[in-house]
Amino acid sequence: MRAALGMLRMRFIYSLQYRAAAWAGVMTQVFWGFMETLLYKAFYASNAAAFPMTLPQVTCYIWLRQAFFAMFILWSVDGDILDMIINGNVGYEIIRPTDLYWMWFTRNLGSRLSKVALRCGPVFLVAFLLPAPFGLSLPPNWVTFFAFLLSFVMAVLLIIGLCMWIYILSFYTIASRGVQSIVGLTAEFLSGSLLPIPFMPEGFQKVAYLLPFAQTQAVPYLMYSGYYSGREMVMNLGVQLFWLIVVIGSGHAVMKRALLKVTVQGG
Amino acid sequence: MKLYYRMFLMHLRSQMEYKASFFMMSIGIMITSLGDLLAISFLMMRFHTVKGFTLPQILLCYSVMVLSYTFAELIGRGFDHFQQVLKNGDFDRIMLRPVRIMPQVFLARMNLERISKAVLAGVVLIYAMSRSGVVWTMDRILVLILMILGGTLMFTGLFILHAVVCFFTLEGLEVMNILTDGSRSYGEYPVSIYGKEMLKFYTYVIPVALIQYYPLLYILGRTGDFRFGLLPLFGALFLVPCFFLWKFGVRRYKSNGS
Amino acid sequence: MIEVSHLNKSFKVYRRDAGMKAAFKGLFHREQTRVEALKDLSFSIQDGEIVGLIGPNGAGKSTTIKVLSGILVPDSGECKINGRVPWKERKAHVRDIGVVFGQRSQLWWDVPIIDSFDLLKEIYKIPEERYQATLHELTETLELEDLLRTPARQLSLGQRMRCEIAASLLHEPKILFLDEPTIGLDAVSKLAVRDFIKKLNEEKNTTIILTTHDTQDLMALTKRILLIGKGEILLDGSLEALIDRYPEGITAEEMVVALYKEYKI
Repeated sequence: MRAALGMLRMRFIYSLQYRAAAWAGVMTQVFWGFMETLLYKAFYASNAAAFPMTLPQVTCYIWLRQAFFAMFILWSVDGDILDMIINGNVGYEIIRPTDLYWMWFTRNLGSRLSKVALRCGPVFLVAFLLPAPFGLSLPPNWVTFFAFLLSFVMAVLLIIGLCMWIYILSFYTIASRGVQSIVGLTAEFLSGSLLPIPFMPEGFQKVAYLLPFAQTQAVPYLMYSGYYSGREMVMNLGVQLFWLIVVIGSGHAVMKRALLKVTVQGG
Repeated sequence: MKLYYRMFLMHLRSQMEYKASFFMMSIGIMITSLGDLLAISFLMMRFHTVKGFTLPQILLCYSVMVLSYTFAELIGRGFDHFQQVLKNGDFDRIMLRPVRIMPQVFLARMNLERISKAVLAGVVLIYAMSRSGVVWTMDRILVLILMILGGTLMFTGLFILHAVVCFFTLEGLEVMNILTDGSRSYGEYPVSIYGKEMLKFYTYVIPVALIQYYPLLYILGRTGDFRFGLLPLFGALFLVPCFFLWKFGVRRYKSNGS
Repeated sequence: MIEVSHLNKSFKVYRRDAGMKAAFKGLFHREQTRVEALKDLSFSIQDGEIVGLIGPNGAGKSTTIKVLSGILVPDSGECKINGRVPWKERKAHVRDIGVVFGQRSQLWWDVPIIDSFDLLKEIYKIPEERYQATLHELTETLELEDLLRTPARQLSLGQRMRCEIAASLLHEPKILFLDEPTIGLDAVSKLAVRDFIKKLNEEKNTTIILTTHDTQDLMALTKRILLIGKGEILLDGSLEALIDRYPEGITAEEMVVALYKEYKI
């Protein structure tokens, strides 16, 4: 854990060094978010009755997504680790007295946090300052806020759990860049980052909610603005927890076997 | 000219060395633009019209933008990825050859997989043309071609602009995405839907509206003024200042190095 | 004939102290300093000379090469190569020179070497007969026969370097710049490259300017040494005279170390 914190600090300093990159990142996210709120406003003006959620709920969704953008990119993996797995050097890692799964897990968490830490603050600030229909509003009540926090934490753990599966699968097969972008984009669409899930057709929504991808973005964002309440809220948190346990549990177990294979083959 | 053709052939041959991954990458890239297409379709299925535009009419706009962006990417990829050309020293290599610099950069990188995106956009365009309720007279077809042509040149200009920025800083290039990828992405809808202020921005600062919104009005018969249909030509003029900025950037590189 | 007089060149660099606080401060304000890459550089090189450019990393060797090859424009000073100012008549100038960077390739990575050569023929507008003759000669002396049909990425470093050298000589330049041509090569390839360079200089009277960290290269190839440190020319003289200054039996490596120490670079 100390090592993970130290690494987080290094990463943070490293990214601070690139100040133009930091400002550029914030500006890009803000502009992109602003354009999208304008888009939804146009749709709202065209036919308010067809809106599946309120306009402020949509803008909240968009701004949260912009602020946490770098956190939830499925394919933001550690290239060093992938190389290590592919060229077999991972054998040397096994010698260390730590659980490799959790080590890589914290490493991934660290790199994602450091990417987001710098950028989300200014994005939030701008989003809060923007006037009513465009800006980010506070959650309606404390219960919703805590539900969002809980849901957000689970979402972060879940996306890393899914990301770990990319490492694990690389033990068995090397996905070509084509496959990577197909999987990445399907996951992106199903996570509701291109289009908020309530705007999708009924049947599509049902499928999306059943898969783990929606749990990584759409669910916490919807949770924030009070889209879910009462039983629905609890149920969604339950589904998230379910996927969290399944994805991490199975990943941990399968990786153990994959590592055994490496040792037997002698790396 | 023959030389540039030979350089192009070289890229073609390079790509053919990786046939299997070429195919998979093509599909991957096609899916990228499928995401936006799906999002537009889902939204339009729910709302039917937005600011008076129907789904086929929006798709007309979408396909024009994706086509011109892709064509610009095909010819101007070396500018789009100019930071790599600078970082790995390819630009020094370019300067060491007794050939003009700009065409060499155009040909420095080429990703022919991107054609798959154009194929998809082409199919969407044909669908949109048949369903948009437009009577396709010669002048309208001409305007449509001008839109794609003007768009290609405008995006090429934007890519060159991106490369010019690389001469000054290699950090923070992400913000240039607002201009390049952003213009394409926002331009998938007629830019008027983002409101009056944005329409002004996309008319006078970056001429996206000149290659899609105004000529689209002519094609859809919302205005009879043929001058609207000729506006893409003015959009293409965007390339001129970009060209001079490029010259300026090269001069700066010569005095500062990378 | 290369004539360089009073070349100056400086670059801007940014610096920052260590630690979190300084990193945060750097978000808003950065310290700028100017680094003098070249300070009042003057020398001249006759046709047919082989000159070794030595000096520690960051001394200004590659800046010098970049100015001489027309990539960089100096802040002040003059430079004439075969009667031309490199950065003013880039296209005419580069037709006269060949440049090999040991760590970068000029070959198209994925296509057979011969395709790269053919394209270079077009780029340099080499007449067909001259091209065939030069290619034939280079193929013989560098033993490229078996490599020409292989893509560059499949070649070993030594094989690739031979192809790189051939690529930069197809247009028969009068001056050849070699930036660490033997870096990372095995002993056999190193010898082959050295022999070839020597032969090229003797037979075609090609001027060769060589930067290297390999002292064996210097011993085998150069007669004249230019020592550059902190952007200045510290020493310009014959290698033999230099060797005589040191006690007998000193290795080339030791001599260079002693030299760097002497000039505090």
